[in-house]
Amino acid sequence: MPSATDSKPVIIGLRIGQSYSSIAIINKDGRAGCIANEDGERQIPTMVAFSGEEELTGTQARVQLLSNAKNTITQFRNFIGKSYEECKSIANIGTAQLVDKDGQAAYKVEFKEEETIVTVQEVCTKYITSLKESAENFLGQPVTGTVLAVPTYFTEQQKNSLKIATEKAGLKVLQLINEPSAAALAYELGYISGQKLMTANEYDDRVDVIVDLGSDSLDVSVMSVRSGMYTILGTTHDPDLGGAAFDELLAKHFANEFKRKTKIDITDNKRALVKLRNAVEITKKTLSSNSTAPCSVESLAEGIDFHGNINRTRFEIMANKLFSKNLEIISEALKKNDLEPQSIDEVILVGGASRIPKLQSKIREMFVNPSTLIRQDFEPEEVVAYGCAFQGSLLSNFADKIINDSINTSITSTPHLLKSIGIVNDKQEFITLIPENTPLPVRRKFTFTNYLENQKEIYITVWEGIHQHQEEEKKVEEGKNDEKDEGGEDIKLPQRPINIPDKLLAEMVLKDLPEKLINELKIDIIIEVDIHSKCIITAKEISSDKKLEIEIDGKTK
Amino acid sequence: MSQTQFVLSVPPPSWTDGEEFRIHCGISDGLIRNVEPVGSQFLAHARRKLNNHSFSEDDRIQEEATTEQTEEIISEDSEEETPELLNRDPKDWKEQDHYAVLGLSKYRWKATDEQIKQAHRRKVLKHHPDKKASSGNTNDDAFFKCIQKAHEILSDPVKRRQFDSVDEAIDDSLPSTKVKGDFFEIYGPIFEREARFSNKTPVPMLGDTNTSKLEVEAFYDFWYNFDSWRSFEYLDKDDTDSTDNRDDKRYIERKNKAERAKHKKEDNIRLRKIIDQALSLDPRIQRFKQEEKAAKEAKKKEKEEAAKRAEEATRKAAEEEKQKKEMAEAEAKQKQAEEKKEKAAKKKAIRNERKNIKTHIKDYNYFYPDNETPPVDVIDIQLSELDSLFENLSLEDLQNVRKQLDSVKDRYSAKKVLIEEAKRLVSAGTLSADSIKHFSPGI
Ligand SMILES: Nc1ncnc2c1ncn2[C@@H]1O[C@H](COP(=O)(O)OP(=O)(O)OP(=O)(O)O)[C@@H](O)[C@H]1O
Ligand SMILES: [Mg+2]
Repeated sequence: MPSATDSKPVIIGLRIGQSYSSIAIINKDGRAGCIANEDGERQIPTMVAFSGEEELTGTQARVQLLSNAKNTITQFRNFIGKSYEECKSIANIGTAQLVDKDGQAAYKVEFKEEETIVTVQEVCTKYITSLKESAENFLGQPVTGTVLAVPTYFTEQQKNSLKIATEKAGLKVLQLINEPSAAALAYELGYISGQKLMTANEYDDRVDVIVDLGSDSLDVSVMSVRSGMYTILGTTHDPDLGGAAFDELLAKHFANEFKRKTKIDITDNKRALVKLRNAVEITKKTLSSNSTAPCSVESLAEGIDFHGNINRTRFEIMANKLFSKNLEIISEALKKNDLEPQSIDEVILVGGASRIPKLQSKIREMFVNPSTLIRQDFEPEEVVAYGCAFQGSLLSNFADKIINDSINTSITSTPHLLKSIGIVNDKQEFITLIPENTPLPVRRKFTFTNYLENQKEIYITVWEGIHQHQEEEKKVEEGKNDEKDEGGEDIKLPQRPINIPDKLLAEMVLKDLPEKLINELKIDIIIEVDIHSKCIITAKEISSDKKLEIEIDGKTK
Repeated sequence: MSQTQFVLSVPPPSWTDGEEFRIHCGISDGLIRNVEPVGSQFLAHARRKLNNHSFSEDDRIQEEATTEQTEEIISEDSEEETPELLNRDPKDWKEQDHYAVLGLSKYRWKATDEQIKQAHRRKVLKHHPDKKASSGNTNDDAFFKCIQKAHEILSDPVKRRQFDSVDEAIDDSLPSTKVKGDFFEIYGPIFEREARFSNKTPVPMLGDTNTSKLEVEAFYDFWYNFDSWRSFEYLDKDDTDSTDNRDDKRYIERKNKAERAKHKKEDNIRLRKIIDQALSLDPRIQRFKQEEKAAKEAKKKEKEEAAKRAEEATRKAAEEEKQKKEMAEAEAKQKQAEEKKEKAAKKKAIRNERKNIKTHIKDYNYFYPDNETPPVDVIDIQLSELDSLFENLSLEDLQNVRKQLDSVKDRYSAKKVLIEEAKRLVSAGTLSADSIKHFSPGI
């Protein structure tokens, strides 16, 4: 019986990029995927255009960009919630003009034969409305809400403004989440390639670096992941890198070529530049999969067509400086957090421009330790939207009140463990139970065992640990890494730092244990640390229920 | 990870048998950071924190919830539908009270999305046409349509706001200024009700008599700059979709637009009036004014008093100064007098001693045997020489001489005392040898 009761709320994940946007949903099989718009595009240009009597968005707007540039609004996402003054110097040239509307950033366009001013928020509402409609057309049912991704550098005001724009588009905003966190969540919840990370324990502790090379900027976030909780340790943002910087290089290259061939200088010809930039973006994308790529612009200037070609090597040489700059920003992000490349477990590549092969190989060179995974299992433009869709489906199990209250700083702001806590085992090795940077409160359970037959007592020492960089550099094991196979015995790799015991917190002895063979005893150790750094440790032998619980008060108490 | 690492040994030999544990040190203080509000673990964290539950409490509750979930839903309290409500024509949905249809009249704009969802589910279960048909009811699904419409509107944030904007069940009016009663009881609920239209949250509330001046000022400041989402599309005349004629459509659209703007303007004025009126009646504002005035006066008074005090102080200082001077003078005088007295006493003592010495000499018959009468000139010489001797002797010297004379037994020794004294003075150079003849040491 189909009835209204089983129409579940439909939540979409949205990421609005400065150049492209994507809409993601969770499919029946529990995996995330992006929806194509009416033109079959899953990377929907972030553009709104006014053409005669019509408002056009996305692919439709892009198609008419060249013929109607002055009524086409592009690159507006970062301007939301900002004043005209803040935006005027970085506004796009050649497309709709940025103007001041009561201090707000707005655009002047001609619509229905009249001059019209639309604020950035209104532009966003129009754009998001069209995304919502695309989703509804695809799904055949109304979309009720969304989880939306925002860059980490967005201000509260920008977030608010975007939220209002979205609600005005008739979409309830369940939550705004940071782009890198959405990406990390997507990797946590959606395994496609079956390449699940081998982590130190079942709690999946790791340090991720999320490298997002979008169209307009490079954003690097260092994130610690502990028991499925994400904490951004630091971010670095460079607004001058990103795909557009590569476009600029190519555009300059071809403009020179055009000048050489025709003696026409287009450096100050806005219209020609819009055309050329539009064309070289395709050239750049082609170069990611082909060794040469053409660039063709009809009637570039003075009615003269342009046809050019470039090969990948040439492009890579041209772009060398940009690559280095990108790597610098990444290592800056690491340094800010006192981390070395070898301490990183995963590097997640996000953003369309991270597809450039040379950049990927440079990043691999930087994170040379094979235990660091470089991940691009998901489409780098889409992964952020996937994360939003996953978050949306998680939220559907929670009451609105919890969802709303949960983003309050009283919930998100919480003490994190300064140093790791662990136990020293029979071989005098430090076993990390809870690593540093774990948000509090935390509770974890481990099962230990005996090393002697009929061991009647078991000795537990709980320590606080610190990082130690390993001195000796081990040799790469043969055959492990196919590229470096030959003569690989001599290659030295920086080793991951390990935790070593630093301060003894407590000793415990569990007595009168039942007689068991070696490794047969099962001792559950549950360790719980509250926000005041009070630590409760419970050791329990499972078959006999022998139990010992101790409480270590936090230092300041 | 291989579990072989998770192996524990026995206590060291030094471990005392009876002991179970030793605690050495607390763990280092944590570092405050922000966790990202994503993922199921975070949501569980939020749930525990918001409900103030420990890990184990939360575990238990979650377990119970999963077992319970299957039952609930219909049982919850629900408003009974009135016959008028049940007989509504779904076509007149614009006039319909959507909250009443879903049984949420007592909540209205306060109803949460969750409540709306639940209420809708309850109503659907009760009024679904399939269900009615099976229980022998008429096959009328009119009320079901009303329910669906109500849900459509209340579950859509935009449409719900449009409906809430014109919800007739909520009083819009402004109480008369003449209404008697507690200001806060009258105006508190009014602001509470108007607050629902705010784009900005949180909306400051009226508060009470004890609300601080700063907060009260912030309150009025907020309300005078109130950013309202209230809009009046819901009152639009004919649905623009219902006419095909393009011009008609435009005309209606324009008219509606003008109408909305007019309503909006009126509503702004209405709110403004409420605020103006509240401000004018607010006992706190009056009190603040009085306090301000009082404070001003107090300040003025304070100033005057300060001036007075300063004057008093200078006067007092001058007086003290004068007194001090007088005292010093008196003291000096007294000292002078004392000194004078002392001097006089000394003089007198000297005179006495001199007299005593002379008496001694006379008693010794000017060093002549008792039976002889000393010649007058010898007495004269003796006395004049004594005088020159005395000139050079201090009181102590005189006393000394006198005491010696007191203690000697015969005239020779007595004379010797004087000669010795003369000798001392001559050798000290204070007395010339010529001025002493009679008592000269040579004799
Ligand atoms: N195959 C490819 N090779 C190289 N660059 C590509 C490729 N595909 C897309 N790009 C570039 O990636 C950029 C778009 O990526 P993405 O959609 O992640 O950016 P965005 O999110 O819109 O921008 P931002 O993150 O700066 O807001 C564009 O500059 C585009 O040219
Ligand atoms: Mg992006």
